[in-house]
Amino acid sequence: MKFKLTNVFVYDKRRLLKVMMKTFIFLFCTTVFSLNPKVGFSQSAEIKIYEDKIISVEEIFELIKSQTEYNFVFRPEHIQNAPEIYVKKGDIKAYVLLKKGLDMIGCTYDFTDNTVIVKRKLHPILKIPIQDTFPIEGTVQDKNGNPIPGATVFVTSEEPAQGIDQARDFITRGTSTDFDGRFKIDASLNYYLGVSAIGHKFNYQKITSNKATYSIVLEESEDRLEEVVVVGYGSTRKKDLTGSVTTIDAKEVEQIKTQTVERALYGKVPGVMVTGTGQPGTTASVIIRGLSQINGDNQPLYVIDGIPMNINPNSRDSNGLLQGSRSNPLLSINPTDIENVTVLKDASAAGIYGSRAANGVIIITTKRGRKGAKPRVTFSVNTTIQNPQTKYEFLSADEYKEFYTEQAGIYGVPVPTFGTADTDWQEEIQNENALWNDYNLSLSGGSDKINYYVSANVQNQEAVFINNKFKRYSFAANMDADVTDKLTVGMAINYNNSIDQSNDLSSFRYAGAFRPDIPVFDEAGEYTDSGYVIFGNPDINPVGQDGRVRNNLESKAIRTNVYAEFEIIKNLKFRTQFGSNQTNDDVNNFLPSFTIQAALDGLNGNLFASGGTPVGILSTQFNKTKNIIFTNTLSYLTKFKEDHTLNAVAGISWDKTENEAVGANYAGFPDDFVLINPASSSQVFNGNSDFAQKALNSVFGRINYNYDDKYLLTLTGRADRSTQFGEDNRTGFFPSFGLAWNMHNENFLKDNALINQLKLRVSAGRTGNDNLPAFLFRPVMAVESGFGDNPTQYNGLNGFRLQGVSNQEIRWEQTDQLDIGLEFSLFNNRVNGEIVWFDKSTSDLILLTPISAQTGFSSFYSNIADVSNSGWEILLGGDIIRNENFSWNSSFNISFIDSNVDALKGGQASAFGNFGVTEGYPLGTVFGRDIIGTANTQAEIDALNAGAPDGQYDTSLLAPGDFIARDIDGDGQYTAEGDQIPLADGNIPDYFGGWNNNLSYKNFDLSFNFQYVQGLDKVRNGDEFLRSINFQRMQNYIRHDVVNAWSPDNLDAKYPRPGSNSWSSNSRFVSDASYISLRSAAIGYNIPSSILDKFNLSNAKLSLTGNNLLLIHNYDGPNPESVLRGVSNTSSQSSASDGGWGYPNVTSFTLGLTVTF
Amino acid sequence: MKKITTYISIISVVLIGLTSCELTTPIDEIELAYQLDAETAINDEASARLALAGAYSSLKEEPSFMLLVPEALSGAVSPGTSFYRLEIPSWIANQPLNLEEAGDNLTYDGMAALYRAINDANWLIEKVADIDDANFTSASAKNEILAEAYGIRALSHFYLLRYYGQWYDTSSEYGITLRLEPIRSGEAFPRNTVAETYTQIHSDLDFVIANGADITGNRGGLNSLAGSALKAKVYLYQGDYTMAASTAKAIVDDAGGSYGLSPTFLELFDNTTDAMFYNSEILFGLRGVLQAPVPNTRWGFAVGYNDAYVASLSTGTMTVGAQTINYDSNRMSSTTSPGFFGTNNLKYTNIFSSGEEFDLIYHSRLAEVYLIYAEAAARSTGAVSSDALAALNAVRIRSGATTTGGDGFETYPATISYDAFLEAVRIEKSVELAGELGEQWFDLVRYDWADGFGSGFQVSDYKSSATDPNKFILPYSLLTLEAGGRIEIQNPSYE
Repeated sequence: MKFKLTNVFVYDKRRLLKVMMKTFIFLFCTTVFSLNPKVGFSQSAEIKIYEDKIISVEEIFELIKSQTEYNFVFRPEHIQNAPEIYVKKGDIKAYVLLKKGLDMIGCTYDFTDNTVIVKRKLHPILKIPIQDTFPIEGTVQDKNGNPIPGATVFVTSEEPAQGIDQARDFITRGTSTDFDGRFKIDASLNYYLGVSAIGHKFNYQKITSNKATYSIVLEESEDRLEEVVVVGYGSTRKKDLTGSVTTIDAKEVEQIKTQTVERALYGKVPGVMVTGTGQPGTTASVIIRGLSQINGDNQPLYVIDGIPMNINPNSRDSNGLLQGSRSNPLLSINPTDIENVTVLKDASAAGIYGSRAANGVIIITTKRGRKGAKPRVTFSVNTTIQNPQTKYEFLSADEYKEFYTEQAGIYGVPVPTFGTADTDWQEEIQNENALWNDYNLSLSGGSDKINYYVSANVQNQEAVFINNKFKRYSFAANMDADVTDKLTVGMAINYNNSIDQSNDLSSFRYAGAFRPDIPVFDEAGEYTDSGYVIFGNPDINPVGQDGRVRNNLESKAIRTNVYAEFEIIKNLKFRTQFGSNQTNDDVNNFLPSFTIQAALDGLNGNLFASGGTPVGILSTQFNKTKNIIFTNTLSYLTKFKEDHTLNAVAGISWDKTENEAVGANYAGFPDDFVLINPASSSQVFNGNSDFAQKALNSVFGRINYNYDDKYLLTLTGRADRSTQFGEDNRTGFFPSFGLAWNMHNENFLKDNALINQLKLRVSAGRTGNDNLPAFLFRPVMAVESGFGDNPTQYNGLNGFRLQGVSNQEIRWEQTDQLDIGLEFSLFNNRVNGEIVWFDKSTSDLILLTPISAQTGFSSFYSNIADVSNSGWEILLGGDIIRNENFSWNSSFNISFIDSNVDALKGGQASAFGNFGVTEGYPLGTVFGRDIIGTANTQAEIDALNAGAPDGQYDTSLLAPGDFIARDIDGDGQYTAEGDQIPLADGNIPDYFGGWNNNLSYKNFDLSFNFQYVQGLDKVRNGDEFLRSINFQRMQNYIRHDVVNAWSPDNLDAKYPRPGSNSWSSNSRFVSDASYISLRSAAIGYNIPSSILDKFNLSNAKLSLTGNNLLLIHNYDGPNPESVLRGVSNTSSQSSASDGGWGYPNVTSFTLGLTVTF
Repeated sequence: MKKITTYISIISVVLIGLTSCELTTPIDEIELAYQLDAETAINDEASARLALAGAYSSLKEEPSFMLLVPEALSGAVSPGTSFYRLEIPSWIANQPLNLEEAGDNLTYDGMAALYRAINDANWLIEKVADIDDANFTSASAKNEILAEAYGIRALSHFYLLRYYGQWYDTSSEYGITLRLEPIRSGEAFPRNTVAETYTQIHSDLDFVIANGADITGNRGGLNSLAGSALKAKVYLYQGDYTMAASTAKAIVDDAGGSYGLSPTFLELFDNTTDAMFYNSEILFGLRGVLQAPVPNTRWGFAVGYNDAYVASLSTGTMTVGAQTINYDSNRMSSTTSPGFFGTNNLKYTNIFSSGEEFDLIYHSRLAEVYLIYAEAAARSTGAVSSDALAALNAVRIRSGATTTGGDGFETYPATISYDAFLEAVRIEKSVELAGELGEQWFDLVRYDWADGFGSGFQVSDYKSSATDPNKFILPYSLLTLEAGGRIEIQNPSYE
């Protein structure tokens, strides 16, 4: 039998065997050997061994024969399954060498007249010859029926006490399973058959009969230390890591019903903060260890099957098409095709990605088939029902009328005429029980040379607003083939097509505030309006206005990669990989002529002059992303002098990405519903485009050195030469190192029954962020065009002009990170955890920096600002219950992160200033008035004004009911310069984390996951609250705001009077946005095999999953999570304000059935 | 099975082989897309013309707020309508503010904007000079393009000087930094003296006059005649009245062919037709059309007219002998109207009135040359010549002034005294050029300077808050001083 194992398996098996050998030799020396002290003179002949090597028993015989005159007599079947042994260079006595080889197989020898007779040993205790053997065979599978290749199968005379690593037993003989999970071994009656495999629990049984075939099912192991983790250009075992790395597997990804995988990270990974909305297909923001960019998205680098991807490309052009309508790039990978997701957080782990790794790296590995596995077809269907998690509570129609009647009195205007309806606009625009169907079919399997995986997925998701649909079709296929023993070739192709049909309904806050006293339709069957006319168009109700806008975003993504891996010499492998990722988005947004937005856009775009008739506008945009990457690596794995392991990889890569957006607008359509294609328009305007490019040539390398499993060292370096870096800094070098000390392998802890693992690790290094526009170092000229503007168009010529002052020195933003962690595993691995401290300081942040006005520009991009983040990450997990029928694994994590803008040095985040960026405060901090009270009488206001140098204490303090702001600088009045206080930062909670639980009882499994955020403030943005009372539009208001508004009857109110100017950012509007959310809970039932067999199924599972089931908070708005998140809106610097504009989060229930044939 | 694996390996190897050449492009060979390398962008006549359009755009687009500086300093704009840009009220109060924040700093941005136009011109001057004559339709075409670039540079340097330098005092060290080369780094240079600044402006204008195109239908580009008109104006600012008078006289005397006073005043400001672009009186104006409008930040949303100022011009009178002569008949009233944000300036398009698609920024028109001549001729001789008087009256007659010798909107009589004549010219300019580029402010300062600041004619008599001559010009923004490493000196009283 011959089969090929991957590196890791080989490595592991050897190690395992070595442990067995050592153990055996140790025991042998103390027991068996001492009982047989006869050492014949001639047996002491020195045998020379010229190099360290691994040899078989037969080779031992040959070796002794070649250096002495001994002959050997033995029965070949006795040594047939003998394990190989490791011998060191040097001299060894013949008898020692013989024992080394023979003890393993339960044999001993007699020595007569230069002849060695090999024979069965006596049982050490029973003193009878060890039993004869008979062959057995069988299969090893996991509980889903997947074969487990490379499992170690052995036969032993003693009952194994614990897991194999703790075995103190005699191992008689051993073998490994092939890729179908099959094995053959010789067994003896009353011996034990043990099976162990990476990632699975040890299993053994007594051989009580002459039964020849065994079917062994291994349960998955909770021992996460043996997990293999991808770390970029290679993989390693979790236990050999020196950096901060967390892996989420497919099972956990499934717990969150999502179109894109980043949402699956909610509360799962210490130090990683995820925020998102319920909008189908949109990106969630993933912030790893705090915000470290002022300009930029702060999002990690995603690496999907070796192809890196930035979520938000940065173009030099500021017209921002690329920041506008674009599909979420992560839609290019379907979550059901994902095998696992690995998050690299510290410099040592992420450093292999050099200039792009400052925000961490998320590596996504897709599912592949297994060699030697029978074809398996898995079909699953999931049906999800979605509803908004929270809605707003507005005034009822009666309260509304009362409110306006009262306000009319205060403002001295006639009491408005009210309608008779009582319309709940939130209900009118909501698609109740929005349905989401998801069908998935996959086929996987393999022969001994080839494995394959094919999957297809169809999804049809309705959104929680009426007439919003998200459809998706995806297809994935991959295969790997061993062409020869030394050459492996593989490829993968992945196609995703998503169609997002929406209208402009995206917030209950806005549409829900439409006046409630009128119905959706009037008597003539027409959509009603509020009676207000804006820019020539009546203000139609949200169902008839925003609900009739038609937005269509269709995205097609194709990802492919091809690789070949060749083993040049033993353990030295060359791998070449070509990958490509292409995404095309087609955006068509149609604004019917009757919408206010169409009127506004028409005026701004100079489609018509004031007083003209608004026209329908079709905005089209085509986005294209092209990413190709070509990587060549050499990897080498070696073990020397028994205790030293070296795993090294070195490579070069070329990476080129282009993002292009092309937009055109059309206007003047004959109607608003059918004839709305470009050909039906009378006018084309504002052709526009945006382009971002990036190319990287890189050299990188990593060395992992392991001494005796006690001391681990990782050295990583990468040099990136990039189109983004100025001529003086073309190449950036990013070094890092990681050190780990496995204290549990030291003698003083080795036998400690309590501690299974105790690892101390330290890593430090440098990474960069290169997400800046290309060629900032070169003076360029370009055409400028804009919406109704076209600045460089002059006198009939479409001219061009210089675009800013170039900066020869522009380069990456640089992050230096130190990470110290302690990992532990206790009580037979039942409790595990880690405590990590990190300090991340980012310098050379690129900001707009003032330059002399003589240069023709007021600023240019240069590397000047500093930001720092530091914190603690604590993870504690374990098996609360672990027995045959019932297990409960629970894991809790908490992170504390401090963030600070250390220095801006005069730089500015954007042409509009430094909103949310203040030296000495966390990024995103908003400032405002510190409210000390409300003026209840005009006399109070007059007194304050009298003491103010300008005669006015505060421009927003005008009438009783307005807030009084604190005069902090003591100049007698409120001024924005001297009297603002930091209100909220919105991004950096005091602490946050998750509590994740997996339970199983017989055929049931249950999981529930909480995520929490504590100590986070947000300012409820007062723009649309009660700031001004518009008696024309007559919008409705949130009950909470009205009830808490000041009135002469409510002098202690929290909020100012309706219509006050005090409804702007101030301390009274700060609300505690802490929350605890039950992100997911799922229950699954595995249909028992007794039933499955009847239907010829190998597996079937029913599951019910719920997301966003519970939200505990004390926030003034309905949902403390409310954020504005679009594809380009992930930078989160404005998360500190909540205007209610965010797409609501969605509570969903999913019923799923998965069947495997 | 073996076949398949062989195929796969062959395909893979071929794929990798085919793509690797394309993929392994060295970084330094990767080209910029959709943008031109400034060093090679201007390489023939067509590209030079496109770059020239870009340079005019810079002049049109960027300094738009700066056009309000003299309007605000002189009191022409309403104090109540400009709150949203902090510096505008400070100009109105004659205490120009020096904001330290970037992003809302007109003093900084305005200077940068004018230098941007200069920089665009400098790239043209450097690159066009290197292009072989054969790449142009004619030798004169190349020179005409160069002349326009020199003209943009001269005009921008002149505007910078009059906003930020002590332009009235040719012996002052407070000139502005002359930038004569394309800018390739953030480095700043010290200020030149006022005399050096004028010398450079004249030198550039001489090139325009010698090589510029003849004035044709297109007055959207700097032609030879506009160069002369600008030169006359520069002489006037320098106080070189003889040269100002002779330069202006040559222009006035030659009027009649391709240029001349507009038959009516109002057709110069009819934004509903592009006929205004071709009006015979326009010597040089920057054009805006519906799809490429001039920025509406000059007047539009930024400010409204000061009604008292408008009233003083439209109802003001001067007594000459027995005649009470009105300053204006209807020029002020027909170019202003009450609007949403205060009194609108109708010389520019009003986005709230329909059909107004065309716009001009009136950088040079013949009426101004007439008035430059009238003043310079009088000042250079100390007496009112008949030519000078005729020049003044020509502008008034075009707007309907009668010659009855009675009261009302009449021409000024020959009996007018020297001092009254100078005042009449100043007022005439205020009326004729109201709301265009704020010429009335520079006139006030010149008149004050002519007999020494603080004595005789004083700006503060007309704008009561304008008492400090140091504040007649803007400060250098603190930001630009800091960014430039303090290599430029600050204007007096602003430190």
